[in-house]
Amino acid sequence: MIYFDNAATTMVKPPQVVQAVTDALTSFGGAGRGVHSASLGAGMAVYECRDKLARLLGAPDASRVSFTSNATEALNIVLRGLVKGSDHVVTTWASHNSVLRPLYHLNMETGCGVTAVKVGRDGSLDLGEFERAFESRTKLCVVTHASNLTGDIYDVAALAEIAHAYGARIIVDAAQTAGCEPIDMQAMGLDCVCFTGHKGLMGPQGTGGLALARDLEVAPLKVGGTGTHSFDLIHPPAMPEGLEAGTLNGHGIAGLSAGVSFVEEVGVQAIRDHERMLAQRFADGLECIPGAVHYGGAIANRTGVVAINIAGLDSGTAADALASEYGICTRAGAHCAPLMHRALGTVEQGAVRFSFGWYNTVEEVDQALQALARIAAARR
Amino acid sequence: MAGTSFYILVESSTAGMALYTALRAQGCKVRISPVPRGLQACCGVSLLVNPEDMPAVRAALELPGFPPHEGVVELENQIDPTRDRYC
Repeated sequence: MIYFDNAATTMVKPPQVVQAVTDALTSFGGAGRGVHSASLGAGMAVYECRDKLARLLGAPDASRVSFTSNATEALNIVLRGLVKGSDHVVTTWASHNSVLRPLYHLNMETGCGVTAVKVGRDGSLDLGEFERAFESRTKLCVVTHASNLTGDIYDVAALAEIAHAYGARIIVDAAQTAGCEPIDMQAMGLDCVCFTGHKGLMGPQGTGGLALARDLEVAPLKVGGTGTHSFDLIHPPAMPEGLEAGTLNGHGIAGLSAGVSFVEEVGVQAIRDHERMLAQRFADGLECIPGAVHYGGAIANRTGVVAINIAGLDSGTAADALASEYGICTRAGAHCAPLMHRALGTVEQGAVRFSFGWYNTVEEVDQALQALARIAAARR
Repeated sequence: MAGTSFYILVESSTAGMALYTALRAQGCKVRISPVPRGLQACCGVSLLVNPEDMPAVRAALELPGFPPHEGVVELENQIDPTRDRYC
């Protein structure tokens, strides 16, 4: 198997991640739920992971990092915790449904305003158009750091400047970039970064979270046990447990912690450079395949994602041929990115997304190009 | 019952872990302990310090940028540390 679906989940994990989860499964009690050795072991592992993530993402400190089950849950928490009926929210066409659907639901439930700023056919976002979307009642903008469809990276620091000039907050969906693109939320002026653990951070599925600026408080989406203030009727708001009612996924977080250590050891820039090198090689190779097109801007400003089509061939058919005849795993269809497909003009055909990861090789890219050339030739 | 112990109270288990890690990094002798129910504490976790180690801990707690705590309480020991020991 050749696995090119790392934008969905990094399937190949560092061995230390597997070992950390295995060790946790046989030694962890409930984190923050006791003071015996099993509980303290879990609690310290969770704390260490918060600390590493705060360092990696440039968050104020470990107390500002809350864990969730994925980026979608983190985005739901922060959007539902901040947006009220009289507010207005700005997003872009590059957003994933993890952003768009919570906004659509909030609009229907509360009447809040939502403006989605278009991106170009090359995935680009015009900063002037973005700024014109802001109104006096705009409370926040929520933007993706990189498109999950094309890999185009957006200048979130520049977007933060615009948002703050209008007195609005900026929430960043870093599902595609945490671990493979530098993020420094304090230096970039970001108010909240939502991340998932099972992609670039190399952790298990079921892990993710959000990092909050020190001066931003978010109402919890769920309330219940926190291991603190047990006799209070009201859920304690203190971060980070205030957003984490119920027992944490300590086993998963142990794996995530090992994944973050791996990323720190290899280096985010080295990972980014490797993935971008593979993407560039793949894009260059596509030029030699008649009928092959790929979407998005320059590879130099993209993650390791290349979405393609072969002439009029349905994206699902192409992905199925790659999987069944060549053992190559890609992702076809709409990628939970309906507005981005509208921008690219691929609503009907969809696209075949190749997403390269740290463990992919040049040889695998070349095999994929050979397979695509054969599929394209058979089509003619 | 001989002696007393000091309990450092914290807002949350994360705050407790942060303070524990920072104090250990300063070379302070401290361990994580349940909060005695008699204390009106925010969190079920506290840091337990023996009296002889308390001066060093107090000095560390006053360092700039040190993780926050909610208070320090001195309690008389409720369990005789020499129990069940003979001779």
